[in-house]
Amino acid sequence: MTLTESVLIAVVVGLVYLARRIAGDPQLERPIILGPIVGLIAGDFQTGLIVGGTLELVFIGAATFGGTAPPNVAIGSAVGTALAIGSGNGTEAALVLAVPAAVLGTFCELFAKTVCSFLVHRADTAATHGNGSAILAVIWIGNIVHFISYAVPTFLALYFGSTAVERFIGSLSDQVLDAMNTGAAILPAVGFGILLSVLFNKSLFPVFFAGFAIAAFTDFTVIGTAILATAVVIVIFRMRRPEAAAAPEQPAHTAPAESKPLPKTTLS
Amino acid sequence: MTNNESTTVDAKDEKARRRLIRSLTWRGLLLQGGFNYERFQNLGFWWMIRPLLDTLYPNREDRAAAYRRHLTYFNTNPWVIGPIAGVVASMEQKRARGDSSVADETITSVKVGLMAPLSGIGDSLVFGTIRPILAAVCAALAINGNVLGPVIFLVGLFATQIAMRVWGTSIGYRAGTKFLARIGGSQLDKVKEGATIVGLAVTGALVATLLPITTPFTYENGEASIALQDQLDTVLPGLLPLAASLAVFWLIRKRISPVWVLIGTLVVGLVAGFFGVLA
Repeated sequence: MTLTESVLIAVVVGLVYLARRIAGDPQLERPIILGPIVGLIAGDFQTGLIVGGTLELVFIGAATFGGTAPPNVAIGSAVGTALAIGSGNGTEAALVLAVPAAVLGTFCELFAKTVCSFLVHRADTAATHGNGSAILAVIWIGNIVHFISYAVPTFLALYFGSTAVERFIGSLSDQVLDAMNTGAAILPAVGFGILLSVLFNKSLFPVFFAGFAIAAFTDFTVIGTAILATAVVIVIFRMRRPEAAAAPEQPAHTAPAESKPLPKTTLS
Repeated sequence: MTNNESTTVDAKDEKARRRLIRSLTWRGLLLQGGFNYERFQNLGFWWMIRPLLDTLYPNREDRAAAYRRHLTYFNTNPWVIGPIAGVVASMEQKRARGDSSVADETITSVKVGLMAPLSGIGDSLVFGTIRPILAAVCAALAINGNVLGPVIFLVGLFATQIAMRVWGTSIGYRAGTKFLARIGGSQLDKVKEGATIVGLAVTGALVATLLPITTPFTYENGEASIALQDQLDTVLPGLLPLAASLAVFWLIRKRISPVWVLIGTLVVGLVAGFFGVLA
């Protein structure tokens, strides 16, 4: 990686994460978006696109639930894509490296959010004086901390790490490269398995096997299966309509039983 | 849906109301600003609602109290902030007008009460179901080198998000806490159920088409050398990908941390590849 490429990619990673903070979480850090962007900067858009798509499958189920920190998709996919392009013929080997990069990247997020926990007390003090601009200053310091926590490690990994990694991949024997190819091939299983557990619903689970069978035994693609499933869903719901209107179901999961009833207000 | 006052409301009020809803909708994008592990989105919530507080409470003391009220713990899915912002804004307006039925604690407890059920919608329906389906379809395109993959993904998610925010803020402001009753409706259950069915079918198709695990293993049967993969294919094409995905699924259900499952799968792949068991 040249200095310019490393700086540009690091800034992009910092910015997509900042977008998550102050632009409504538009999911720009997903590999399918970040891959092609990194590819454009590193001079190989096509490889970036393909690597991005592959990494998207690996991380497809990794979502932030209730503020926990999953493997860091942004750093993992940026570093993985950049290395895949830099190493030339070792795309699969570089893909494998996206995983440790993403796991280590988790610490960047933890660091930024922890630093901001100290800042929040300054905001409290400012609030007691009704000083809005001081609270705003705290927020911006926090946002900059978030940006730096992502951009700097990405830059260091790319600028100082990529040459070493590329040399390392170049020195690997064929057998080790085969092993890395297999490692890369099996990785999407993690994404699919996690996705399954997110979607899990006992009575609907057989649909998974139906989707699998359709695509395994025929030439149906993912898009074809999606269209087929959507059509079936619409038909089922149309057929159900009369009875559903007569007896509306009580929702089970949107209003958990343990949630307290709302206090009475005059808003109605 | 209409308040008592809204029957006598004039056009000027309605205009101000629309301006407020629009402001809250766009400022809702700031919700995760200064995100911290102590009180999560508290700074962002304040950032979003600050202009309203400044207008309602010109007096420094009232303003300080309002600022403190909105710097308490807050955490929800960022895409579903609209309804909460709308409800809270209408409550703050009532409180500022001197409506004694809206106590400070009521505002905080309504915020807390809406946080969890709305997170459920955002996390499981949007980030857990709709985004993965879109991602799966688009990743399949991207892997084949089609630039429409990322484009459709970006545009699709953006449209979903904006629609949720615009509709959510308005309904939250106008319907108030009645909104809670509405989000519990069977309509949403239906959307969730439908999305889950499509999601499961798509996941099945993904496993069958985009998980290229095979075995190079061969064995001797008399004089002929038989490839194990050919034998497997006659039983069930994609048996190995199916087994690998179900194994991960089982581990996650056993509450093993996804990070360990990820690392473990990688190690299994590397070892199996090294010894030529899998390819």
